[in-house]
Amino acid sequence: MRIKDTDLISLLEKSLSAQPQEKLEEIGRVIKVGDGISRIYGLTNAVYGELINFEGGNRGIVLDLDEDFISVVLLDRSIPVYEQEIATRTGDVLRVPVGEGLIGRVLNATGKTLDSLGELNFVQKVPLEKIASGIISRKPVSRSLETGITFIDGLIPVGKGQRELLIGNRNTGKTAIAVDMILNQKGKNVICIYVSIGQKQSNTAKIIDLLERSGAMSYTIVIDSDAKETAVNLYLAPYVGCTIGEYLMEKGKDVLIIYDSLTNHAIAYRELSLLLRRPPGREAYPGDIFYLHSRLLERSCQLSDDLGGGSLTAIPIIQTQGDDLTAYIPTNLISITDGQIVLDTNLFNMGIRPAINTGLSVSRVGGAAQTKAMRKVCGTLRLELAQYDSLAAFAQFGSELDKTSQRILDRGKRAIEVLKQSVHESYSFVDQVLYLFLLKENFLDDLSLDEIKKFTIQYASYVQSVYPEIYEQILKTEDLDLHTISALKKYVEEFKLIFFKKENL
Amino acid sequence: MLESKNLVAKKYAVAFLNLYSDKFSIETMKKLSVLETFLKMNGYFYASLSVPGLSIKVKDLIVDRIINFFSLDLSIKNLINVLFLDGRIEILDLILRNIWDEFKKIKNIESFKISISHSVDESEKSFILNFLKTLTSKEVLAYFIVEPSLIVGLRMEGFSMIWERSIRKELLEVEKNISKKGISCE
Repeated sequence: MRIKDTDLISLLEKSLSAQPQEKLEEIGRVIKVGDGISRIYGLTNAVYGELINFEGGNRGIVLDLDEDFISVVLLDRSIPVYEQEIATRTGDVLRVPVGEGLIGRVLNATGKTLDSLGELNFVQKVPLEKIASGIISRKPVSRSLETGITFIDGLIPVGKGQRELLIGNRNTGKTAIAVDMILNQKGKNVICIYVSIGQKQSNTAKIIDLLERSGAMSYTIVIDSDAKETAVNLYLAPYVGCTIGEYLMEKGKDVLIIYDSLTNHAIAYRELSLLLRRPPGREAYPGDIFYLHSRLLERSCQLSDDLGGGSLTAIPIIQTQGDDLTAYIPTNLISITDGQIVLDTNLFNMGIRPAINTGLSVSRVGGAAQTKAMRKVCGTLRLELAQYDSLAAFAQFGSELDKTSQRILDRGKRAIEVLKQSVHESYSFVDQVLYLFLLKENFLDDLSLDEIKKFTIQYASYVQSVYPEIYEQILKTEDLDLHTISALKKYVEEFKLIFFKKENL
Repeated sequence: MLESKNLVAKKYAVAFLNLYSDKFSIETMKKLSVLETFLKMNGYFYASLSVPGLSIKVKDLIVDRIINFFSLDLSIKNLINVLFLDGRIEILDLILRNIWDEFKKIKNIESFKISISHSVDESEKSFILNFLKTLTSKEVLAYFIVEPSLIVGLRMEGFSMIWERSIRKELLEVEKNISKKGISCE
């Protein structure tokens, strides 16, 4: 018997028409609601991290799967959820709007705009959580990210794609340094993202105002999840910022992201975990607190040239209690990041700004993220400051010191004077090189401590205005050759005559 | 507390069905459901079985009376005896609910509340039931109600699934889309 093609097709059509086109939606029922957490009976096929819709209009994310119920954290506290309310699966995860159209905008942790600049112009919505780029798609951190802060650029250089922790007690200038880093990126083709987590609204408003006044909002995105927000919003905020930054990085852009602060993020996650009845561990944090931050910071990297060569530099901020760097969250973050900038309360109170502790601060990328010129002028500076720190304690007792010790102390004091910098005052790369050149070549030894700052700034200005070709050459080559060094030495002698003459008048 | 009670009740229910599931049909299960409602409404049943001064014989009589009244299988008496010995008689209604839920799982049955914006005749009802059976590939137990708030349409709500096509739902979707601008599912 021969089977006709048409028979087969009609048989198939018949079978297909018998199949129902409609599908039933999977549902669960709310059995308990409280503290922003909803327990749902049913939804047996829901997956971790899935977005759940409630009949009343609220939405939530699955954060716990139990034998009989699932726990969902609610995204909106203003929409009530009732007992026995029906919850449906979406089969999708949280998505964040991304694109260059977000630059200059202020968003909240759910990606909604908080400014009055109209509708958000985004390219697409991408999942909030993503596995970080693998080793093959990365390349070593080798390009310097200029912060405009001489101390950091000279001693603790930050490279593009690096993760450098900013750590210190409250009121030691952590946020100020981070904001200065953003301000210094003007005209440097770096997109900045400032993520405010659990900060006071007034503080975030001040920062946004400063960024607007300085013209920095033209290359900055602000994600604001302030102290009044729910724990889930605080938990989501850094991931939203990271997802936006990651998208821009994949488009070949250099991105700088500030997480201010991950201490508040950890506290918010602890709150969520305790409400979800997860077993508490050290300092009542849940067992996956390390993974919470490692999976966030691991997404920062320098992509290989094949993938556009973009970078995502992360500056997480951590607040310590009583200078205790050995607490749980600080040690976790120190081990995750590629170095830390430690701010010291004592230095801050002594008027040394930025109050960076030289001994405890480190950049694991080191010289690789520094220009040749900077490497040449910074050579032994860290060692000198370390020697100064160890001798400074003895000097306080007023004991007589030998000549060598006195020289170390004197040199350390001068180095600190050069490295002192006011808030929101950033220096260009060439200026920084010139300041440190003066220090390295001992041109500041015959100046009093009060004169040092004025002298260095005026010298850099003198070179820029009188010998612009040398200034431009350093900027262009990012190096100091022998000819340039001898020329700079000659200019110092010239300038000293002018400086002292002016001072004596 | 309630969650742990429910967990224990579920274990009793599963064990009970392992032994006696063959003895039950949908009709007898419905009787268990009626007993569950009765127990919820009349808490003194538990109290009377828990009074220490009351003789075993009297307690037996109470249980027999209940079983005869609701025309239940004698296996339920075994369950009550076990609970009595274990000192867990107060979770009997929870166990009965779990037995019904587990039985539906075993027999592939789903209960539905079907809300329609207008009244329908028997032929339309049977059409809807057939549609539901095809859709779920399950044995369907359903009851119909008229719900004018749907405006126009039909809503079939089961324990773990829902199907709704109504003007009310369309309007709610429009409302959600208007207010939704941030993170969303696409």
